[in-house]
Amino acid sequence: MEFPIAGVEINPLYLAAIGFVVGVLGGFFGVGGGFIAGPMMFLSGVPMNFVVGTDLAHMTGKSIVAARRHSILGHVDFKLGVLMIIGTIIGVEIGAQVVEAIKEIGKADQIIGWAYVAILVAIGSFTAIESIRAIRMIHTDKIEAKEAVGFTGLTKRIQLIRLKPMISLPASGIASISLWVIIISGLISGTLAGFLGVGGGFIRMPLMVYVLGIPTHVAIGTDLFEIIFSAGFGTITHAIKGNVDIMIALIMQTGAAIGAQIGSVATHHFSGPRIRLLFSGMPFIGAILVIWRLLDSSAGAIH
Amino acid sequence: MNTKTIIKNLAIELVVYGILVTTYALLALRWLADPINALFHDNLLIYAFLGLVLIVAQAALLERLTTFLLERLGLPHSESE
Repeated sequence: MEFPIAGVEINPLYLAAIGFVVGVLGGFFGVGGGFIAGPMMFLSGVPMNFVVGTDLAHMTGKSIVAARRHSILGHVDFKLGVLMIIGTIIGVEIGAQVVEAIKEIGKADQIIGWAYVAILVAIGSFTAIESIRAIRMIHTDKIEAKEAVGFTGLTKRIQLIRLKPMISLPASGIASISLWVIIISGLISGTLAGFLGVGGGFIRMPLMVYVLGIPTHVAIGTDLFEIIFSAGFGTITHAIKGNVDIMIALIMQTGAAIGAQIGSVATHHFSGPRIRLLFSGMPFIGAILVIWRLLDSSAGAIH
Repeated sequence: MNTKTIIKNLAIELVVYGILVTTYALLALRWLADPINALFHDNLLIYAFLGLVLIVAQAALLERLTTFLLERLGLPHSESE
């Protein structure tokens, strides 16, 4: 089928299949899945400028479906989501400014690319070690699976910060936490997302669990709720620049909407540590794809 | 509610929702492809907002419609769990 806006001819079933895969992963892990959908779209011939914008468009729809499903399951903390959006928006702008500064130095693609790899490997390794420790704790210490977290030191220190105003997050089971901690967490994830040019779901989800002490299921649902706004805003800005093929996005969304529902419901049947253990593989897949692209572009530059 | 029932209810809901989203995408491709292509070249601002509306409608409205249809047909759905 021909998609005249992006100027490509692609089998719509392939697009729907990409959507389905990232839909399942997104619904289950609370991530946008751009680091998987992007390379798959690019391989099918979609020009790079359309890859990012079109991916954001389908991500918006998929996140609506997944967040609604998580909300039915009681996995969305709307208060936390709205507060984090404030920090995220400011952070994305800071990250974009850092990128501009690096561009002036030169070799921005290589610097950002290798920083991306380092962050992905760090998140993946940390989550893997922590979740294995948490699973062991469930067996040895007889801790309830839902509560088990193998690394709580930072969360405890963060929750001791009494910088006013203090707020409660009943949906996440947090009696009192500084508003500034939430906004700064959003700011950090937003800055990294803006710097790396990604949605940032794979940064926000672990950040919510390990820094704020949010239960894994609620972190996933809340992250998806936040992605609706960040990806929606990204869709508008990219579409105005002519970087979105809405027809490709609609086809991808067909598969993604169904996949997101399956992924979201599946979380209900896994404990937090098991979800985090499975999640830990995702950043490594992303890192491999980025390394491949970086080495490919280096080889291209040599030739 | 046991896992088997949850999976059965989800499967029914996904079949109805799947039919709706696929029909929506096919109708959009059949009737909107040319006007949207023209809009992309004429007015990117309207194109951007219309694009987002189409995506949000496919995601949110069709899910509401699915719930409504399942209720009317007396079939189980996620909100009744």
